[in-house]
Amino acid sequence: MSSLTSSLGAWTRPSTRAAGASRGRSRAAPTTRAKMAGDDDDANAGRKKTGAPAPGGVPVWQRKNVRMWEVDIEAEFERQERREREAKERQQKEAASGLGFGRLNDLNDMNVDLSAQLRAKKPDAAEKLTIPGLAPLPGGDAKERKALPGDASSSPTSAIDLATTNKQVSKYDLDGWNYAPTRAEQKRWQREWEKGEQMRAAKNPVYAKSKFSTRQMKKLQPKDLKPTVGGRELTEAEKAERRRTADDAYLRVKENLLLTTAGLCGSGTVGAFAVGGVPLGASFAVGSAGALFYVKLLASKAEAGGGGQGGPPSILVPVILFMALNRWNFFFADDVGVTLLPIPMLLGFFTYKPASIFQAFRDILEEEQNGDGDNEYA
Amino acid sequence: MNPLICAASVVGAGLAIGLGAIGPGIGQGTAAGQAVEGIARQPEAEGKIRGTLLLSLAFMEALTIYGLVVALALMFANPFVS
Repeated sequence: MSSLTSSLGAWTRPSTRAAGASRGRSRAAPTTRAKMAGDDDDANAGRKKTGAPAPGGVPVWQRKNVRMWEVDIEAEFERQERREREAKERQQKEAASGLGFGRLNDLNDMNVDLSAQLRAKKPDAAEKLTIPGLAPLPGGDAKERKALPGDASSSPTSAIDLATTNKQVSKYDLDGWNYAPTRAEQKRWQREWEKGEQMRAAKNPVYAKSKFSTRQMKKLQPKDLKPTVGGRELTEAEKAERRRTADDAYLRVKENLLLTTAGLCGSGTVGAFAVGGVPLGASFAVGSAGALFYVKLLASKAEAGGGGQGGPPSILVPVILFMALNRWNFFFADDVGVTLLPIPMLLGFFTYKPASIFQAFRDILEEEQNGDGDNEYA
Repeated sequence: MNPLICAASVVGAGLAIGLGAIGPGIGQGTAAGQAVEGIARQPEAEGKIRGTLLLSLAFMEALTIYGLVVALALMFANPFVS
């Protein structure tokens, strides 16, 4: 019986050591990035990130600060199964420890596989070979030990654990691309760059005077981004000349539009008088007067501030025309003997439309004739 | 005077001017905003921008005026009312 106890102790102790070793390995293995930090706390933090189970057995998705899409769910299921199996084995082991018939039954039972405990004795044998006076390695033997093929922790589940959690490539490595930096990062980089520039300028007076130094760069103002010609900024006289040319162009467009409208209105009125007599001609003439007034209002609208949104309400012109037609026919048509017709009046009002189309075509033709004279604004 | 025709004319006039003003309103707003932006960027080109804007406004407001004319015709010179 005593020999059995000693043999049990020999099996039990290495198994606990092996379990400790496997714990240490499972802590260190999933997080090679935790090696950068070099301590166990960082390793624990790294394990949280990779989704490995916590010592308490809390599932990953129940922990705080863990997003669902960061959880490898299949690996987590594997871990859970392994955890349950290990807990069961531990219970069996604890129940079978000491002098009990349960352990004896385990030993006699061929279904119980104790090969893991037997293999775990190898590191123990290696430890015996170490020189007694020599201090142990600073990192601890359990951590520094490499996973051997026959080791207890090299189970299929640990391979899954390694494959799923020990990612060598960071998830932030976007195949050569990076995330766009935040404003805080940009400010920090700017500060660091300015700091470096200042240090460089302090060391080198020639560099401090060059246009690349921070002091010189800070002198750049928005006014430096004004349009330039041939690499130099425009003088006030040149600006005034440009403004005068553009204003002349606008006045020319306005006058041309008004004159074209007036020409079309006059010719149309004469034609209407000739074709339809006084009622048709009078109606067309009223509409033409409305068209001229409308073009004038449109011009003052374009000149007003707000890019055409201010100015007089030119849309009221057709309203006034129609109301005038209605009132005229109601009150004065019988007395004067001239009845205004709505359709000729509308035709007269819309003479501004072909005039504006004609003007637009004339502008295009003028620009084509002048060539690329307007490229100075490009 | 048929009251049904009168009511339909009033409703039609409202719809004509109301719906007809949506598109030109959006277009005019866009054109005006771009013109102001262009003048702010290039004050020297204000005259040219203004000339282009004048023609653009003439084209765009015509669309509103078409709806307005239909509405006014229905209100003041309705051919369906004897």
